[in-house]
Amino acid sequence: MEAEDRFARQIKKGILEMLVLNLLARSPGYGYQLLTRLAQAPGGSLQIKEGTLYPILYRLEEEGLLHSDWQTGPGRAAPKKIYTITPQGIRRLEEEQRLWKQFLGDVQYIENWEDTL
Amino acid sequence: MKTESSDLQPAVKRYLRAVARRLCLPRKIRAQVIQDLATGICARQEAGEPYEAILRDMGTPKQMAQGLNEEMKEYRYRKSPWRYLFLVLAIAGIGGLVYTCSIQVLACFLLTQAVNQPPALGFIGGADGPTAIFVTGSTTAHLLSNLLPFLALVIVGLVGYILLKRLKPKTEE
Repeated sequence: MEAEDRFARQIKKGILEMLVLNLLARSPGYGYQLLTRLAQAPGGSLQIKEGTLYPILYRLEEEGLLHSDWQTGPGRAAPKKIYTITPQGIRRLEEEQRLWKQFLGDVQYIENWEDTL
Repeated sequence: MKTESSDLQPAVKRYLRAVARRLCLPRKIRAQVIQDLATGICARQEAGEPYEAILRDMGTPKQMAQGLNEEMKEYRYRKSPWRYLFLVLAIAGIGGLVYTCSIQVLACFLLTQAVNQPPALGFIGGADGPTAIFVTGSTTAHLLSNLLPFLALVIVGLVGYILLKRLKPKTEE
């Protein structure tokens, strides 16, 4: 179980950045929204906590891939920090998606190669 | 524009304070993290979750802080091992201060006693007031001049220790 958790953590660590950029490229959002959207993935493997998401957002913002802005909500809703992807962020997303597809293709190649042995 | 602390329940404020205490991050980043956690909690409450369930789900303050410290290593202060050298200097300075004060106070006491001795036992320089004041005054100046180097050692040691405990994070080139 520990080995599986470690494997899952390693994979998550690699792709979360791309997934966060992907979600924000569709529409700006705040932390809780991103957590909810990721948790909606059917397998449950993308369920993460605030302590994992916020450092990713801070890093992406520091690199200029995201921009944040506080916005007040309707009525008595608390203000929220809304993240928006920048043009640089979109370029990074496209690059990471290209690499991810390449990676997936290579993994499938190896898996298929084993099947034909 | 940020979430006001008055919007949060006392239990949530306690939780956030406990997390903040355990974060090994520069002040500005720590404040940003706590603010974002507060905002996240408020957003979940607006979605209908009770704050008790939210805090349970987030884990204990120790777990939350550990996770954040781990994920934000590149933002953490570095601690130089040289800080222990400065700590030793400060401790040596304190030891020197205590020793010097003790010796000087003892010497002052003995000298004062000698000045105030009845004629039958003998005295230094006479039993009059000005002489006693002069002896005491010169002893005080002597005491201060002896203490100053140790005091300087303590100050340098403590300042060095504190500065070397909070070095800026290394940035990747």
